[in-house]
Amino acid sequence: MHSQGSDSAEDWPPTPSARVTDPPLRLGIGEYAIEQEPAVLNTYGLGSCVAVAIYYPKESIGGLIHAMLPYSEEINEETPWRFADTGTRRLVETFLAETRASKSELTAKIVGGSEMFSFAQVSENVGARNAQSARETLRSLGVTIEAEDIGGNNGRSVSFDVGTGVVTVKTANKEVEKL
Amino acid sequence: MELDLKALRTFHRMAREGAGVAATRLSNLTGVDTNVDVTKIKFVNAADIRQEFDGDMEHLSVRVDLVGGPGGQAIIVFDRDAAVEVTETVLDFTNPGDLDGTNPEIDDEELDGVSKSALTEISHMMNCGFIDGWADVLDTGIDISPPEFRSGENSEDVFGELSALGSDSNLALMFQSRIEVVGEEFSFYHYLFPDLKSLDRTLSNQRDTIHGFRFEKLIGFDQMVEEGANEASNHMSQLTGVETDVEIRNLNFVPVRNIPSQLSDQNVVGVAFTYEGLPSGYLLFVFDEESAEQIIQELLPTDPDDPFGDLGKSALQELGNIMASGVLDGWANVLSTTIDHSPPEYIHDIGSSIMDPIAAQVGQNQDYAFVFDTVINADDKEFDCSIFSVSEEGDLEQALSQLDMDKLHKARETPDFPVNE
Repeated sequence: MHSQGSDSAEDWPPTPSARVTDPPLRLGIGEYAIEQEPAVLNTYGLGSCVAVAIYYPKESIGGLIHAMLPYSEEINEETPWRFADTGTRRLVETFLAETRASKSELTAKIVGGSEMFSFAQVSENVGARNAQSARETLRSLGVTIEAEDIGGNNGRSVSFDVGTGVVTVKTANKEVEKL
Repeated sequence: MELDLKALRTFHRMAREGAGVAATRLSNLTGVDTNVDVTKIKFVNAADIRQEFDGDMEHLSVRVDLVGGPGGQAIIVFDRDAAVEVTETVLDFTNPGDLDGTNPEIDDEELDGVSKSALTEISHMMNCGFIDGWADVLDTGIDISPPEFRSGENSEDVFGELSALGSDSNLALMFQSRIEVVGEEFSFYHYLFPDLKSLDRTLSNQRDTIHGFRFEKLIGFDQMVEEGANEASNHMSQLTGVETDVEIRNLNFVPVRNIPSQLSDQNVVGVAFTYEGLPSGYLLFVFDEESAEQIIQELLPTDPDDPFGDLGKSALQELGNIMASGVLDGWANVLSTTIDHSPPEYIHDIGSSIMDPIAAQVGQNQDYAFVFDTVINADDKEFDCSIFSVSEEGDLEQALSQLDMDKLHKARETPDFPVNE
């Protein structure tokens, strides 16, 4: 099975008539994908953004979202995949609708949420708030958070192997970490 | 021609719809699935086009004249390798050839008549796809002339006389797109050289008339950015003692979610600023690690043990500070305004992750952003520096509306004189 998309009706699918069947190996901001083994889902350049990985180990199915801002009600609810709260909720809901998993069988990992700059304009704790929003949403949905790599001052890239459930995190100037 | 942000967003819808229709038709022709990636819209002038296409690489183009709608010319351009690949893919599908299902490879030296004819057909079909997509977005009919195939190693071979396309004094719209056919990836350029009068009429119902600016102001702003880039290049040359030039300069209008992809996923080193005034936004000077190391060595009297240690960081911040002042003072002068910038902030991280919080910040208030990107090259290729500026949307619209074109022209006529006697 596979499922993919983004919050922006105008950006995805590219046109109503274009056929898009290849799994997206790389997710950008506001995009999600749910794939089965042997897919690998990647998202690069997480600064203050967060990636939330959802895993259903029984059937080796994984989902990933790349969210940019913490709470949709603060900005614009028409683009839910862009937000850590509504994006995470939709990812879990889509996962449950398209697989045989129950909430208690899912596990989650959260990566990202850095504070890259100290500028007043960009340091409003967006990174920390993104991580907090994803965490709150997962807890409210009853999904177990298995691991986190959040905060700090460096960017990260994420590679999610849905065959093993391992999330590999590459951080600039640091060792690669496996969650 | 009057433009505003709504009209600019319409250009984006045109790019996306056009690429989507073109991809669908290519998919139908080849029988394999396609994926579309519209990366950005660029506003380019004749000099930009000459710089891009005057060189050693052969490009092939197919051009049509547009009648109705925006008017003007639409031109699809492939580099030679992409043209050969797309033609081979289509020929393999439409004419399976020998027993293993593949045709002989196309001659690397010269496209034969069949290949040229096939490429013209494919390009024309994609060109028509784009134009049909534009017509849908603009809710108008667009007729086209028969296709004209061109090829060569310079802009005149590929485009014909650029002044005849009206691009010497105007900006053309370049839709940068990539279409992936499963297992293959074809990059290409698609240009619209609009007839400004007819585009103005066509966009009349696509605009908010409250906050508009003349299209010419965009040209003026592009020129202003060029001046700022030249200033930054001059400052860099003075501080490092290495001659530098502005190599690439782009004025892009991109969806906020695509801002991070303006930088690669490799580690980069640089200096970031915020600036406030009219306009306000973010300014970054970015080097790849090798270039950063080189430039730090040029800036310091002796080679440091660790180029990215405190001394190196400090030197790079100082360079960034001076370059930022050069860029922003130039803008403020033309706009008759004041633009203040923050203290420099050193960055050494994954390129796209640096842009990510900037996207998050501007994304709270807008869906699209103007991104200026510039590459400054050292003449001897020891290093290069990319400059990115992301401006707040509303501020930039207001700045554009206030841009004094007469003052800009006068500023451009002011002769340069040496700083060091």
